[in-house]
Amino acid sequence: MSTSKFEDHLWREFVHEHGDDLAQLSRPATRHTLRRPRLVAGAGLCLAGGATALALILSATSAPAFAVTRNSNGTVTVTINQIAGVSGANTELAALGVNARAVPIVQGCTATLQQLLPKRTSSVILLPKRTSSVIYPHGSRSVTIEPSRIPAGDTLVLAVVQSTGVLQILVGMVHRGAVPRCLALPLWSENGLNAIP
Amino acid sequence: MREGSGGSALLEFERIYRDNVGVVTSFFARRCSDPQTVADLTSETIVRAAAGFAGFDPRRGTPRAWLSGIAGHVYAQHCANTASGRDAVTRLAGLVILAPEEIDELMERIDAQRAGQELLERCAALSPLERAAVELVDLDGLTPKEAAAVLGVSRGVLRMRLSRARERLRKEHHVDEQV
Repeated sequence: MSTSKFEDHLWREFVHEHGDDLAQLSRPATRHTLRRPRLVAGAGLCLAGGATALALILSATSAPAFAVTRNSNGTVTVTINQIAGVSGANTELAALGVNARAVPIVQGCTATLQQLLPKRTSSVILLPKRTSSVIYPHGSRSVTIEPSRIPAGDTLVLAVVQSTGVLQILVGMVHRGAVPRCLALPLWSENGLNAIP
Repeated sequence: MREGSGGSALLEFERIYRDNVGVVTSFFARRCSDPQTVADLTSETIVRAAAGFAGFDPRRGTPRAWLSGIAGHVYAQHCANTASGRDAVTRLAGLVILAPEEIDELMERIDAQRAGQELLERCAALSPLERAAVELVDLDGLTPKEAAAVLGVSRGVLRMRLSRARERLRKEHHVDEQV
């Protein structure tokens, strides 16, 4: 299929920035194994693109699926490297008495982000930008929470999505009421993410 | 394939790129009127695809379906950030600096997608799943099997929803013509 000038240009830029790393990538044999390479933190190749660092995680080593750490200033840092780490992270958060829950976005769930949206939309924290005094993201898989700023009776919900091997804590929102075990895949539309009007 | 063969992953990724980047660009051209935004979101999709390429298994879905799913997530995040007053593509700023002829080319692409935009507008009354099914199959050219994989539903559900959506669009179009 022929590509346009823009698409040729984009490919040249991409190869210039990331080609060496992709060229060194070992892809799994597709005919003889169903095992996917494990994606975990620690062996990502960080590639700089101009003033902007674009992290491409192209290989894998062993690292914990999650980490929950109480910091000396009372904040709690949550890192989730794999969807499989959500449950363990939630157990740790509960043990620390933090009203926060990570909720995976997975296929087949019926609960939507929209159902969790509070009336005051300022409580929706879109990651990975720092926008709130409640939660501070570090990259796409780690956030620091200030538990004391979560209103009593509310739960800070961290929506976690893993797409094509890349995990991201996508949205944080303060929610009152029952928290679903999982959330539906967000569908896109001309109005944007269904959950975020 | 490819294990330990230096450069083959890049060649394979380039083939996937060449075969499918047009679909990705058109996906964003239907939604954005600014060529730079179309370029940035397309770039973001390709970078994310490269990030996940080690785990991409073609037996679990075609490259087109895989890229369409990534594009959907990229657009969703872009809209979410835009809705909150933040610039979703800040981190890509400067990555792709468009030449005037590339801007013209993308403007033509945006214009060419006007019919697609209109179809999406007509789909506003459909459910999100039906709307996405119509777009993926009727505009992006994915097979129902590919679209089902992108949307995380069974082929049966996808076919049923697609059929229902098309029928509803046909009826509405018929009513419009009579009016």
